Amino acid sequence: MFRLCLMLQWQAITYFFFFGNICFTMLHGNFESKTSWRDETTQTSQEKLHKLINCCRFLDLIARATGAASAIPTASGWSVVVEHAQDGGDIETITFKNFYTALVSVRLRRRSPGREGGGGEWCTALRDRPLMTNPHAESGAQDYCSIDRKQMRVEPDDVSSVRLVLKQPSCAWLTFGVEDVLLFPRAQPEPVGELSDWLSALNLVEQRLPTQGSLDAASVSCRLQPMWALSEVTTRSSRSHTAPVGRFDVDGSYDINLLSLT
Amino acid sequence: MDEGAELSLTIVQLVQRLKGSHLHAQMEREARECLHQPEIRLDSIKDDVRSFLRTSGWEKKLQNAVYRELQVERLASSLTAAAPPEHVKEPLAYMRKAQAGWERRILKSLNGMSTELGVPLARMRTAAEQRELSSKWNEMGTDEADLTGFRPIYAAKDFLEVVVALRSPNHKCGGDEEPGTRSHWGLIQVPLDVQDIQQLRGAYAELNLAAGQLGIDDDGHIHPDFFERDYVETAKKVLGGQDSAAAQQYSRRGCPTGLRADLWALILNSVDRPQDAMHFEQLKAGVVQHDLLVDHLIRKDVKLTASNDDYYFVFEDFLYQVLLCFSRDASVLEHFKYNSATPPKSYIRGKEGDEAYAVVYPPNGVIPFHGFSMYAAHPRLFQWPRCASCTRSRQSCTACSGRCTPATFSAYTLCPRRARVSCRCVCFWSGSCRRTCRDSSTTCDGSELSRYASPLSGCFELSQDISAPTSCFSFGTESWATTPWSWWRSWLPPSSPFGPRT
Repeated sequence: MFRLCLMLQWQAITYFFFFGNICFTMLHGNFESKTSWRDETTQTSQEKLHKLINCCRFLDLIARATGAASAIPTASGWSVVVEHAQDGGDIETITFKNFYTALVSVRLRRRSPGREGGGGEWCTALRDRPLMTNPHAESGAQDYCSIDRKQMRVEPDDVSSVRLVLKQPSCAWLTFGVEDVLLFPRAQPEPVGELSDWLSALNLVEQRLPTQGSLDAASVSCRLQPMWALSEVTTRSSRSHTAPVGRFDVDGSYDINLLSLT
Repeated sequence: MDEGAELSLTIVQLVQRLKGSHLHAQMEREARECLHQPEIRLDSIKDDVRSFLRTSGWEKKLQNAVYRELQVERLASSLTAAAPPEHVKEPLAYMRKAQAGWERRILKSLNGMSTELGVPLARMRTAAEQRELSSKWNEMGTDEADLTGFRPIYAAKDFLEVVVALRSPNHKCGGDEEPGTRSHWGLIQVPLDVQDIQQLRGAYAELNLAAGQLGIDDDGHIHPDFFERDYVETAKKVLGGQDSAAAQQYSRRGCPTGLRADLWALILNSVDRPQDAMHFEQLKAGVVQHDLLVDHLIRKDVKLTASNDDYYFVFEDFLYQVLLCFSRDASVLEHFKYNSATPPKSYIRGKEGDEAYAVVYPPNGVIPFHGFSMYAAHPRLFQWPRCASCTRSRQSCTACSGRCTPATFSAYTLCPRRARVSCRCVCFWSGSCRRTCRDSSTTCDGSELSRYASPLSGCFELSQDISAPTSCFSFGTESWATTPWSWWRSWLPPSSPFGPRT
């Protein structure tokens, strides 16, 4: 009940309409009995039960229409995709391919520090990020999307589960969802390992070279600048050599067969 | 991708595009030579060189080049590395499938024509034929070749049928043949995001009835002091400023006939350079050496359209020169990188399947359709007093390449982006039900939609932000009179003056 009311908050008109309807149903019940609300205390238990059942049926219709029952596939509303992170790691990026989802929210389950066991607490990392500029049109409907950790409200560290809440308010589509959801862990700095023998030997050779005072940054930059300019010229000339000269034939021949259909 | 990262990426792409270009070499040379000038000081060399380039007009040329690059739709980097290349060019799978089917249909038609008529797709001309063609280069219209067997590969109507048949498989009325409660108004049933009437009114405010426009307010019975004289003076000032963006902004309300060529050259940043002359000679040599089937299609199209036109028949020879050379221009293939279309491919005879001997046919990858020659004819761009001179042909070819490429791709590619045919058809059809035109008595049916969905009238490349090309050009009073929209003029020019709104 509480969850259904929370859902109805973002469908203000529907909430108001149905709430009014529910009140009417509960209070009036029978159209013929207009004074039934005054005689509520005298209603029989059967009549009260009948009203309650009608109310529940009505709320169930609301739940189905708004997608609250996520087990039932709906053309519009919302659905949830759960992806499990690997052993509570840190997440760098979440990528997926959109399929007619209008908005996406990301919820993370993070393990609390110092708390052993359990999955942790859920928190909202991203709320209602638009994936389609117009939910009724095709723009953005099949785009590849990525959500970086910088775009999230909370740090996606020590995450055990990721929940993508997908929303599609338009009833124009047969189905909606996301595909190919991938979680990219945060890159760890490479550990400093032991150098191989030949690298170690190289370092020893460099250390034996006599140092002739401190290096002059200006002189080093003066020496490097011409080299850089030379490399630029070389790159440019090599690029110009590989530039297409505009010929469409192959070794002077353009005698072709029929066009390839594949 | 946030806006800052996207801007940085755009800048990097622009720099890569302009680096190594002729403009870059020229600016480097000028910057090197200005070091000899006394006002260039060593301690502030960078600022002084920049100031020199600004005052000497090179900054303006660079601005025009950047503006031109921005007008051409480029591939932005994919949002994620996971996006395949075909998805970056066209994200909707059913659009890619429809595009592939459409291209296969065109190729089958071309193969069938080659087989039926016994005309090879390409052959080397004999030495005698090459000499004859070279001697008759400036009078190719006198060639009375038999073109009765050749027919256009497709016309606007065929493409319209493809666009009308598009269905989104995930749309609730996508598979329904019969109109239902969820069907869209009009012929186009693809749920594309197009501008509504209010947005169109804002986007094309220059075309409102209160603003003067060439082709309408410069009519003979209207005194030129009301509008025409001042507007022509403004055109001269715009040309004096040599600013592409200003020229494009100015052209929104039409171009004076005598200044149209210069204005469009400025908009397209098309300048006559020595290397262009060499390139043109190379293209001309390609025309002389090889005889292609598409050459006959081009000749047929010119005969059917421009030659039968009261205004453009005098440019028949000119059109042959431009279009035949354009078909040999392999640099046009670069635009396939950001377009969902695929250039037709073939193999050298005897080397089928060997990618080392794969070639594109025709060399520019563009198969002409019915009305293709009007790309070069409209909008009276080549109506010079002395036409068919070598210089003009070259300039025309350069302008044609720069203008036709985005327009051509827009013509026969299926893409839901706003500037494409599909969106223009949706925009037109939805708007025709809410007419704001002057002539409200004009009926609107599929034939008119076909006309405005045609490559010539609706498919010139623009920025991504707008959904329909508009122009103040009017082909003639008869076309204006039949236009249901006040801003759907006939034969809309390529690279429309309308760019993104600031």
